[in-house]
Amino acid sequence: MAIIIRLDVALAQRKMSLTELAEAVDITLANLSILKTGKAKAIRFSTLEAICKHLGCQPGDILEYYPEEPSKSR
Amino acid sequence: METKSTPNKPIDQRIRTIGSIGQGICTAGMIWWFYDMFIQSLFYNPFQGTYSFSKTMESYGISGDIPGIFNMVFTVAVFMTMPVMLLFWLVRKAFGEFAKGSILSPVIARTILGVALISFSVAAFKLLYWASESPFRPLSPLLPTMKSLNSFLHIQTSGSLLSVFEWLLIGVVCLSLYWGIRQAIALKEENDLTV
Repeated sequence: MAIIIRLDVALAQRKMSLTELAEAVDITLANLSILKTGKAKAIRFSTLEAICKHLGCQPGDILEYYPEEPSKSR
Repeated sequence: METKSTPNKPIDQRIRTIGSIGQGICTAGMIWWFYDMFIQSLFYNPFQGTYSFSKTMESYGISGDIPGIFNMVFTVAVFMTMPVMLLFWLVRKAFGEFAKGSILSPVIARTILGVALISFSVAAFKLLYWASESPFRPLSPLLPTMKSLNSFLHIQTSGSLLSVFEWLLIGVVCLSLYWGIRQAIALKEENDLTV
């Protein structure tokens, strides 16, 4: 996917664990893990808002657009 | 995915119950169909003394090459019995998934696709059967033989065009369900991966 999640970087900068964030924003650890590992297909505004509010950052600090190279098989 | 989701327990329990009941009905249906279509075709009524094929033939006043007739009747009986047995087995498999509490699973989608394909096959066979007694006959030399066997074996194969449409309708409904369930599975997957 062209959107990359930088949650691990944001957490490392704040020296915070995923479990702590999960407890703080009231999201299950499993869901947060899906987000962190890039398996998520979508993110709710409410989830993004909660994460940004707790980490004190902007959505752009967590999400990054990385253009994909066109497939060679086409 | 909901942040703190709670499963809907009463609905889940109802699905499991319906699944178990459906499995029981399908098992009973398979046994009944096997007896009614297969056993009774070969051994007219095993509980009233006609437990051998020759006695069954005697009861119909048929004599001649009994082993030859048996092979033919056996083939026809298998041909008539198997599709519906397979249908029961597939539907039982789908109910088994319900009993586990799983509705939108690829197994159910595949099962429904299987039911649709069998229904289309039966419709095609019935269309040929109908054509064998219509002005377009004979499309196949085997079909008149099957028709004559049907007359004394009581194999419930209706040659009417209506039954062709019935099976076609079942096939189309199941195919629509298959596409619907496939779409629902894709949506569920997307929903499960929405944080």
